[in-house]
Amino acid sequence: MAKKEKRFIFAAVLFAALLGTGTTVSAMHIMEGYLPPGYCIAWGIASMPFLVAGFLKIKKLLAENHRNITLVAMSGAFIFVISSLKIPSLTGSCSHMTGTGLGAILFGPSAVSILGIIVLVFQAILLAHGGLTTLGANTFSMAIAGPFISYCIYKTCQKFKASKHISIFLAASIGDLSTYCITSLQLALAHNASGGIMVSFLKFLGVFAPTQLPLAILEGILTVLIIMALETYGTQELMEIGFIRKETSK
Amino acid sequence: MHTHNHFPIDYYAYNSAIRNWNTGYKMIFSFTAIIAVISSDDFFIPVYTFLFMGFINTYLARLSIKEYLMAVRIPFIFIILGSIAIGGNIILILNVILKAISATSAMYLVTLSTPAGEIIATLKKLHIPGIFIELMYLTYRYIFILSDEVHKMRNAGISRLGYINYRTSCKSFSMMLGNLLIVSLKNSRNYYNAMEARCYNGSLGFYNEKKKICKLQVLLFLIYLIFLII
Repeated sequence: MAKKEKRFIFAAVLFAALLGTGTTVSAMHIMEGYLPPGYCIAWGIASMPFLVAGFLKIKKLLAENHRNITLVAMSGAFIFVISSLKIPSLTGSCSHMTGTGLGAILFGPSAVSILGIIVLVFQAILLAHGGLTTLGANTFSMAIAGPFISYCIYKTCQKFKASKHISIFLAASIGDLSTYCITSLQLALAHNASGGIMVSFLKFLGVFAPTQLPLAILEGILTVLIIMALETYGTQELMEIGFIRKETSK
Repeated sequence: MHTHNHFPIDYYAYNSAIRNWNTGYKMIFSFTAIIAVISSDDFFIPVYTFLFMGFINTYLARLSIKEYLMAVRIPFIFIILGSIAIGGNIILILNVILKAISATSAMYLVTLSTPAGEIIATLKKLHIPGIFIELMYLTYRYIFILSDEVHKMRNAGISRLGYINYRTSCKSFSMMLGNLLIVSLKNSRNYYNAMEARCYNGSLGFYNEKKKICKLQVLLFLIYLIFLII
């Protein structure tokens, strides 16, 4: 165990040293070339049903009124932009929000799956975050699992009459954490040379923890602040998106 | 000097010397290479692909080696952290690192030399549903509009003593994003009106240049394949 701990400490130190060089950390995208072909295809197939459901909902939304297309595209661009911005951080490093929690709360989880895959394609093309063969795996963790879990938590909290801000905080940060857990699981399934899947799953969790744990909490706080800003100036716009959500969850 | 250069990769793509190569050709070439790399077990294919793609991306595409290495460096932290977690023997770790770098360089064959609009146009030929393609086109355009908006808002925030310390940074940052959403939703209505005024009736048409595949390109692909098989 001590050896493992040493390794974690080494990883954290290395990480801090690398951050000093000002390189960008992509949130939790699995890089191009990191998964063997079988896993790429399997995760692609796993995401398929959700994407089809999301696609049908968006199609229905557009059939009702084609005007919504700019709204949907704009929401996609919004998620892309917030996930490409450096968030304020104490260490001067460059980390990014995932934006999926916010997206799920605002637009509903099934619409976010389609927006998410578009965002992931552009992240691969424009930012080299993630890749094209790992698109399926990334879609599953970031555009499907994260948003769905966020949304469930948000709804459950509302059912138990928790304060709105606490439920948003929990939804965003736990959504972020679940994305990170699922990515670690995906990596562990593909690369489990030393020991079993469980061992490498824990290892991946441990190595990414120094970046992801603070990030999840920060994402939660920022999401609450964004919603607060929206409630102050943008009630009309919030109703407008409420309109989208009502339409998509029909 | 490009002051509003939000996404360097996009900038390189528009200025690449091999931008006039056929997009479908580049995509097939790059995808073949990626698949070859990820399904390989030895060191030869990843190293060979990395060098081959490096040659195309720097020498033929006229990208300076420094710029290219900066681009290759982007996924580096993930690769290193991920590889520490894999554990096991050094050879295995090295192999995974090499594969990831090599596949990324193969992906750069397309992304560093082809504007996103042309990539989407080629996806259209694969019979991906029209709505999806249209959403991609619009999203791509809005990304730049919103990035400009963010740039302006950040300047406005900085000039009003936002971002002076950590607490203020968080506050300014989230106010900016909240405002960004409001601005973007307001604009989306206007953009639809603008498109409608220009006879938009549910389908976007773009002019795409026909790009022929020349002998040099066929030869390059063949050379790559021959060495791959050996």
